[in-house]
Amino acid sequence: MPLSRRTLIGSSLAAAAVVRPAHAAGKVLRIGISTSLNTLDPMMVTTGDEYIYANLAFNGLARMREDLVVEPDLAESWTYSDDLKRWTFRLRRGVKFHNGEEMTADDVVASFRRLLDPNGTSPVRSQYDMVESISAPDAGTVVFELKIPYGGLADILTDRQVKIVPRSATAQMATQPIGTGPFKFVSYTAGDRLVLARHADYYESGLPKVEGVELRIIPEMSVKISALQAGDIDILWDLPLEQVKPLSGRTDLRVDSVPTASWDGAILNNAIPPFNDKRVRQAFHLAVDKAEVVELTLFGQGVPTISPIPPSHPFYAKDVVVPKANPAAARKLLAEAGHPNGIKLPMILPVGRPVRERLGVTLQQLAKAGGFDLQVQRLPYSSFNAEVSGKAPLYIDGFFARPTVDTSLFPFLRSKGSWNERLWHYSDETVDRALDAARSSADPAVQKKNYIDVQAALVANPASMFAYSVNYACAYRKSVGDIKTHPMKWFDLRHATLS
Amino acid sequence: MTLLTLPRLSAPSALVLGGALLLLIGLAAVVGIWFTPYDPAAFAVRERLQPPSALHPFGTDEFGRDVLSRVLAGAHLSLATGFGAMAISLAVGVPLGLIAAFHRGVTEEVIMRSVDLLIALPPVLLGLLVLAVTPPSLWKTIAAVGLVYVPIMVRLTRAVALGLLEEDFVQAARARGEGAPTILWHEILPNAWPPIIVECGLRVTFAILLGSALSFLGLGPQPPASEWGLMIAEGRDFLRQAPWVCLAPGLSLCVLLVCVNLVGEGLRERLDPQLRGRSHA
Repeated sequence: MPLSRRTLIGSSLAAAAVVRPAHAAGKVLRIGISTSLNTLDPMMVTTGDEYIYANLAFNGLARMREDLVVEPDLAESWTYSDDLKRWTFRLRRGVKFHNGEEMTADDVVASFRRLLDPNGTSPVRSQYDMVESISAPDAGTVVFELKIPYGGLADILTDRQVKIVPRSATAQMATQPIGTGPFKFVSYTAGDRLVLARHADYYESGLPKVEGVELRIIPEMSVKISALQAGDIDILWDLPLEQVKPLSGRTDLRVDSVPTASWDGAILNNAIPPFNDKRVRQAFHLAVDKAEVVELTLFGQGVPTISPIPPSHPFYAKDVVVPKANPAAARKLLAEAGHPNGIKLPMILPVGRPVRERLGVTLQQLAKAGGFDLQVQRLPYSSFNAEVSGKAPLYIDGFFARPTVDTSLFPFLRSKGSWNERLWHYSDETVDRALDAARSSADPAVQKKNYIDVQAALVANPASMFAYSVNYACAYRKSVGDIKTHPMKWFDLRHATLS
Repeated sequence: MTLLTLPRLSAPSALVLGGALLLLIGLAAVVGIWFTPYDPAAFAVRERLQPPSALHPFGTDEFGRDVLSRVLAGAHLSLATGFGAMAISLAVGVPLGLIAAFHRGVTEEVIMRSVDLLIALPPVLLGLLVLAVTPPSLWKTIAAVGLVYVPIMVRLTRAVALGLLEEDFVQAARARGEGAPTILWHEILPNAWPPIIVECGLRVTFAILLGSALSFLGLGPQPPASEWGLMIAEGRDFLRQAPWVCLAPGLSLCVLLVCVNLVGEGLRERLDPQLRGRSHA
């Protein structure tokens, strides 16, 4: 057997990943991910690696396409009352769980009761606070009664944790999970791999096309890249943005970088000095050029943004004028706010989040001209919740894309919003009014108008610095076909092929 | 005559070679605080991740900063950590060791058992414990690394002093009726120095390395400072594309450690009575 030097080097580097014969199982897609999964229970998933698994093994009532359009999944269709407080979902019939049982409305109700259980442990329970009750009038219908009018219910049901599981098997979700997804759980070895096999009774006939999927856990990026080049994995998930250009030149690979709604930024605490003064927040925004920040921090793989709404989204405020960077004006504003000699203050960076560390170093250098003398302090990300958020005047953080504009904005910017209270204590009447109006309408035109108002208000009275929307990149071997890179960072592998 | 016989081309002793190189590094480090070819913190977007060239002998990093300038500007941090920590461990360890040797009994037990406790913790963990509770900075790194090496100094000093206390000249001093401070300061310490100095020379290497390791973990000087461990941590993400970002501080650290070690070895050869006769045959 001819063995090229590159394969030899690559496979020895990726030694841990290639213990057993790679192609024995036929057409199995091998995806290189970064960290071990902490849970197999879909209602508990919290990391990007876990989201991939949750979206392969399970379905929700609705799903989100790569172009962010919401389409029916386990629900065939839905209707809502005029006051937006009663939503009725008609279920697809004949859908089989991996254990052969048929999915009915009782399973849907049981899945949601489990998620919403006040004594339960799901980390996302509070996102579904608006749900008053769920009931199943018949085997094919589920009715949600809401506490408030909410126009985006179907959209948030595409999220990663709201998956339908069989009511008979909830106890085994952590060890032998069962869903309706295109792939069924086979085995999981922490630190090594998670193995999924084709679900033969999947409700869309003829799908999925590959025999199975393996999520290979390879923490070290250089090892993962070697494994991809050697053909030991087929897909490299979440390629670091600095690798996009170097790897794009290779003929055996396809590198895809797509805009997302994930953002990083400088968190300015509006409740304590100096950022309790609106002029100081404005000065901070005037001090740096966000386009330069994107180039330095993301190697150009991202776009400056006003709020968590990415410029790729139809609701992005294209016509709102964002003032150009102007360090002199920034210093002038600082002087008006009582800081004629500029401001010296610490800025905390999360250790081990390389992009956010880079963002911090970039801001430290660029904000100097605007009168901000920032003293960088790197702290472990694990201590952020306890020691940093809500306490430090300035630190660097970021948030993963959420499925709807409402869930990306409301908790962060509405007075007393859950994240607002934890991060920056922002309060603006225009923003509050617009956010309330947007969520109590199901009409995209009304929503769009209100969300543009929010963005305009954020330019006039900044909360924190939403620096940019980050791109998300994946690298595929050319043998992999029919996969689109999903901005939510999970995979839809129903149509995927392997040649 | 002497001029003619000199070219026997004998290799310079470790002490001379290491010392000369160390002096050179020290000089570069001091100059590097004020003067470097480029501003070590200045960004240059168009010159990011450039390989070594005539303009940038060590290449540039992910922000387009000149790596040579950063290595030079960061050199004094590693030296300060190594020698500063040694000074602290000497200043704290030697007196404690002398006291433990002289006052046998409860005092000795308290000191030596505390030392045992500290020694039981791995060095990096001990450093982490000190640094994790407060915001990191250079002097805290120095203090933490110094603390790590205090127990070794205490043990060594005590062991040497215990031997010396049995010597006749100490007995004589006691018979003269001299007090503890006088005996320790005038009789014991001057004779205990050589092994302590030798130990120091060798431990500085470890102290520099530990300082860089802590800094790599985020617990040393903070960006945009260019401490070498921190530079390696930041350059790690670019190891495949731009290995020089990591290699430059890494190799600089290597060279520094070799020099310090040469000096340490040289001192040992000079001061250790058991080696003195052998090495200069």
